[in-house]
Amino acid sequence: MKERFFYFSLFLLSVFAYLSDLSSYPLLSSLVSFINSLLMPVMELKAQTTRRVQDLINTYVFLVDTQKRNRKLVEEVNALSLKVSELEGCKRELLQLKGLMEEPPTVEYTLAGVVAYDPSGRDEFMLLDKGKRDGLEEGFVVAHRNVFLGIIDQVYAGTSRVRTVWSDNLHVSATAGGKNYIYKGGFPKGSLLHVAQEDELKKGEKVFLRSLRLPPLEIGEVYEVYPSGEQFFKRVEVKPYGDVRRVDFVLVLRRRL
Amino acid sequence: MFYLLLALVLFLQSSVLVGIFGSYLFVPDLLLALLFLSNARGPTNYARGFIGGFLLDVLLDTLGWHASGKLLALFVLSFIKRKFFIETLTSLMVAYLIVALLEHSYRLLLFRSKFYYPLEPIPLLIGFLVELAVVANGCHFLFKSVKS
Repeated sequence: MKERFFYFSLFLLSVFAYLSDLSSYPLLSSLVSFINSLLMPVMELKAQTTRRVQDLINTYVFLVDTQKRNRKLVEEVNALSLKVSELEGCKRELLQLKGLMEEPPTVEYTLAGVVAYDPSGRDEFMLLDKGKRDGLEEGFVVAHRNVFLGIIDQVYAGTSRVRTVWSDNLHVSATAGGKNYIYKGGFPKGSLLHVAQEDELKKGEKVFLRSLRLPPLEIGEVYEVYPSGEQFFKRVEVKPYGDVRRVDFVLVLRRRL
Repeated sequence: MFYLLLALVLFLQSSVLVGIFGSYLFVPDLLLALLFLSNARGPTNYARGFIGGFLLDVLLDTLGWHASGKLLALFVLSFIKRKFFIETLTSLMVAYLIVALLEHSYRLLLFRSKFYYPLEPIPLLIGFLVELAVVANGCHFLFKSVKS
């Protein structure tokens, strides 16, 4: 019983020592430092061993991680090698195709100044300062930036006349909403001819000049779609983009439609 | 023999295992296992428990933490021995489970009342499983030596 009581007291003392940091008390500090000096070699050995073991563990974990990462990278490299060989194949095929295809045609053009407009105010034609002497021919396309303005219909020695998108006499092939139509010029609106009732052309849809040998120049946009004018076709009005009277210089594409 | 083993266990627990588990909170308590195995039969030797705990405290600079924990564990073991027969491997393991859980919980609570350190369940569980494996092997060895 006495023994148990003694050890119970020791238990309480230990708890107190832990909670109150008894070893740091000034009275006991000399005793603690004495014990520490006795145990110094052991403590050093312990610290060194702990450090070495930690280093070993860290190295092991690092190596395991590196091995996993390496495996992943090897897989990625294999996949990429496959991709590279596929791409090489594609490149080879493309080079062969390039060899087979003829060079894409380049459009030659002449810059011309506008010298006169339509006196009626309907902008049906305009006069350019370039003519036969400059190599212009009837049927050449006239554009300003990416907007189609018209077609040269008469060529004189030093000048030429352009039939514009506002003219009733202009008829060109056009594309709108993925389908081909005939664009008929007009003032104040042009129109698309023979648009079937079931065609879904909407207001604001862009209308492009259709040509296999020229870039798709913009004619204008659908202004209004009227349900039924005739039995099979609907009436579609187009507002041309070309503002003839604001243009001082135009590009004459030296190619017919 | 006991003190030789004690020295080995103290060195292992205070240096090698701390290096492996990262913190002395998660280290398997081999000292408790040794004390349990040496006190499982016959009278309980509190002096060994206190000396072992005290020396471990000196090595870890945690004066009173292990000493009080080991004394508490021996009190509990002494109580169990008085009330139950511990004659089989299973009963020994159950007794150790009770003693160890109480001792570890007590020490963790004592530590937590003074410091804060995030408790990681996985290293804690691994440490406890290692400890259980050591005790199971020790019990097996104990029974074998008794039989022979």
